[in-house]
Amino acid sequence: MKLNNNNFHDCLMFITVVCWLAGSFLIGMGLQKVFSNQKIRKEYIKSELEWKQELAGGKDDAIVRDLKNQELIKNMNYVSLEQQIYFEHADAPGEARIANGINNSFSCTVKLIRDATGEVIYESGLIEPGHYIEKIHLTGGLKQGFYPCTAIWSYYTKGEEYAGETAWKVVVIIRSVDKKSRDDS
Amino acid sequence: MTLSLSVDYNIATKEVGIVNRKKTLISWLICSLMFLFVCFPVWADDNNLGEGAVPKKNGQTDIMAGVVVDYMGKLRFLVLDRDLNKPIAGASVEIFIPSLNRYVLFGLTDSNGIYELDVAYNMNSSVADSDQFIKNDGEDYTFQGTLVYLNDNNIQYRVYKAEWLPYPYEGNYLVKGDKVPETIIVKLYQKETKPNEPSSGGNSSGGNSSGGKSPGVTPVNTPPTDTPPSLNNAEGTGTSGIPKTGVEGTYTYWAFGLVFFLLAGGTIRKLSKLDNESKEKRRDSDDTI
Repeated sequence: MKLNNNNFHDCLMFITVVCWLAGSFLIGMGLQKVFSNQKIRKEYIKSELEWKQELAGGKDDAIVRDLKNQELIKNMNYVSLEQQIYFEHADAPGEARIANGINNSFSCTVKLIRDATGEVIYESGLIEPGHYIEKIHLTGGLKQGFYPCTAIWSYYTKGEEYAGETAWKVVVIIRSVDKKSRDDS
Repeated sequence: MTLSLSVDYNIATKEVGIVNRKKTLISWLICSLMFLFVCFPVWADDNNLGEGAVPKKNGQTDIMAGVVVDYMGKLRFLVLDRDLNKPIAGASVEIFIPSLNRYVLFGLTDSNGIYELDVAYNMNSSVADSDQFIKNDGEDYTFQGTLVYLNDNNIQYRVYKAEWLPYPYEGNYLVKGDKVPETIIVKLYQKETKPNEPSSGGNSSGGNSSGGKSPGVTPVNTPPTDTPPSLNNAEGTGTSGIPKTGVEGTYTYWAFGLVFFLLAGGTIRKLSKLDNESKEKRRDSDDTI
């Protein structure tokens, strides 16, 4: 009987400790939310982006989203990329003519994603306004053929704050088989 | 006799000291664990990978049609006011990218309510056969002599503008290539007017267009038609992510935490009751002796 009482006592102790720990964890989760909310709010208030400041000011999400899209599309007009990018073979450079116009207020990166597989076949570094990349090299060792791709433009402010992304369609064309097999033939 | 008593007393005090120390140690341990459990979520949040990390996965080729340069044409989005039949400028057009598993902004409509997107069409071409093939670019394509096209020319899109409903208008469109440009007509209505059939907002000329989701594709973000979409940052195009209040989303955690603390309180009360009962029993037995 005494043993049973002891067991019951230990069991209760165990439950108490588990409840304390679970409660603490959940309170901690709540605190984390508070901290991250505060952090996000501060980030938005200090942001270089007008739409983020508007959002922090309590403006309607939908209106702010339109503002953001307008800003992105305005900047999209200053960037350019060949719509068909030709490569002699997969290892050869291709003339992509990626450019970020000097009037663009954002820096940008561009990423070519193959639609069929989702693999990233090219990713640029940060291109500041007034800079361009003439030729690019692909990764992934594509074979001869046509590859429908999506070019994803990601925009960043002067302080390298992420501003958003836009996309357009491009086609990557590998004209001939890879260099090695071509040399062999 | 006095010596043995004093030895017993010393042993007893030592035992009490050991028990006290043990209790203190366990209390410290539990407190430390509680503190760690409270701090862990905050620490974990600071060390997460951040937003925008999109896992790479095998996508479906839903968006592109043929790929030969000569086939490249225009897909036109025409956004109109459903009631007045007037063009709506500044409506955002987003297309679902299966390989990214999210919608990406492609453009805004102009003053004529038009946004044109470059796509490739399934149509006859002057390009030589040797230049028209896709090798291993997914399995969803066929090759027919001078024609290269992907079987699933399905474009999943959404169109939206603030203060216009549905928000967003979602639909999909099967590119046929029988007209240039192929036009998708999207009709939106203003918030004030209560429509009878809100889902009959869009149609198209050429190809098949329908509202809602395309089969086999599950977009990340499919909000209810007449409510603002849950715009999250991971999606890449959203504007939200800013909490309206400092304590947004915390109440659930705190409520459950409180429940656990109440449970702990209950068990402590039970424990103290048990202790009191056993003490009383001991006293009673001492008195009877």
